[in-house]
Amino acid sequence: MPKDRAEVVISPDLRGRQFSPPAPLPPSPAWLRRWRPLPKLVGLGALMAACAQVRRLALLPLVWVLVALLWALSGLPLRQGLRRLAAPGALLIAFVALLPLVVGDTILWRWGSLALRWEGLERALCLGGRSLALLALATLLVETTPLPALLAALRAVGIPDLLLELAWLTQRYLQEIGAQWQQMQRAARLRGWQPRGSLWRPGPALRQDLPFLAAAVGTLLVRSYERSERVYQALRLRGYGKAPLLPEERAGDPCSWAASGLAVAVALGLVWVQLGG
Amino acid sequence: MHISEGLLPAPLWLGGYGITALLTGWSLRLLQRLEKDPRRQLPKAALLTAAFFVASSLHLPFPPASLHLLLNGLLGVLLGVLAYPAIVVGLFFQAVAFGHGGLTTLGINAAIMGIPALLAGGIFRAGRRPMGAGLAAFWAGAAGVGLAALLFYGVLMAALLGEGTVSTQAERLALGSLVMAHLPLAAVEGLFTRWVVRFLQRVQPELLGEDAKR
Repeated sequence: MPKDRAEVVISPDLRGRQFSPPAPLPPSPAWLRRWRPLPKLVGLGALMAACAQVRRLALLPLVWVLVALLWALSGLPLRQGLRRLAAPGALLIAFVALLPLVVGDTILWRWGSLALRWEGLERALCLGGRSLALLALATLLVETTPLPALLAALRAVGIPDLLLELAWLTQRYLQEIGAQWQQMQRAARLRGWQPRGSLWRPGPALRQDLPFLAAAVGTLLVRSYERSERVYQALRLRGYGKAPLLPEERAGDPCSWAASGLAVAVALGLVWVQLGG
Repeated sequence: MHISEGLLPAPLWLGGYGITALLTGWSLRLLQRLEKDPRRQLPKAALLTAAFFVASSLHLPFPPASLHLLLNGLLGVLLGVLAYPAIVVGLFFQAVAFGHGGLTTLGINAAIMGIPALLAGGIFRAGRRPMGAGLAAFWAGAAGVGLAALLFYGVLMAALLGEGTVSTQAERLALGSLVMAHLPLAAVEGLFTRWVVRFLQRVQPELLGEDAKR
């Protein structure tokens, strides 16, 4: 045995046991996940309020640098963010698409009766950029904070207990009721039901479809109501009403509050610049 | 009928939060006054909110696209004063889960959907005796959508006029005609609410009766 190799001495009581190589330590959670929920709610809330005020196109790159920095600190995959940003709502898409064509007098490009106008384009860019930045900030808040912790933080800022308990119970049963609804629709299709009517041409087909769908919604409501009675009894047995349903929110560490202070200062700076400072 | 993030100026979305805070506080206070144990109503409200959330994904074909039902009138009929907090919670989850609406516009969106829901509940309770439950449910469902459409375009018009985005008469007319386009949907939603209420009368009248006493 070469002398430079360390000799492993195994104590007698450990001989014969098998050791697996030590498991790698789990990666440290991303910084945004370590930001405590209450300070995070205050900080990101202030940034969202400030971003909602931005009306100057020149400020948008700054806002997006800020959002990109926070996204990098969140550890969330970029694909997840792009998927969320791809569904901002039909109304926003309609505005962003139409504004450059209808608002303003400075024509940049013309094709037949269609004209691209600078003023409309500027407003569309501002509106779209601001909306997507707000969506990204909201995504950061909800994706890096577990819902019970977020609800507890909301309680700490004064949202009533009854409203938060309603939210907690709703999210608890949302997926189950969604699955039940899909099962009901699948069963109806297997029995040969197909929606045939159209609101565009209301006729006998639609007059058959709507009462059927109303009965399906009524059935879902009846099942949910019956279940709610059982849920209430079960919750009472577990002491519901005597102890809080949601965990108490801790105040947060100094680092978290320092980050919130920084976020609030940036938000105030944005508002100051927007107001013409 | 959701207003997306970033569309509204600060006074409007802050005002929306103010209205929602007042109406949610009023609803919860009324619930505490009317019920010996207000928490007894919460599981029912939560499960019905989840059911409405799921059922509002129901799309009716309207070529080339499709429309989905709002069901805020039906929510008012079934939940009474709890309809407003239930709508706040439903819209919160829609914003969080799908990005529909938004967190800054949650207050104004809740006011647009919730005020008609409270009024629809009032119409149903006031009208069910003289008109009969079916007709009262029709008017409640139709009023829920009609009033929500009016509030939606009122808020949108206020925002666009404030920014000077909508300036010509033709643009105002285009937006106004969108409100008119919702009238057939109000009629469909009224009929739908009537059928659901008549179904519940046959199958589970308790679901209507308990709340109707309020």
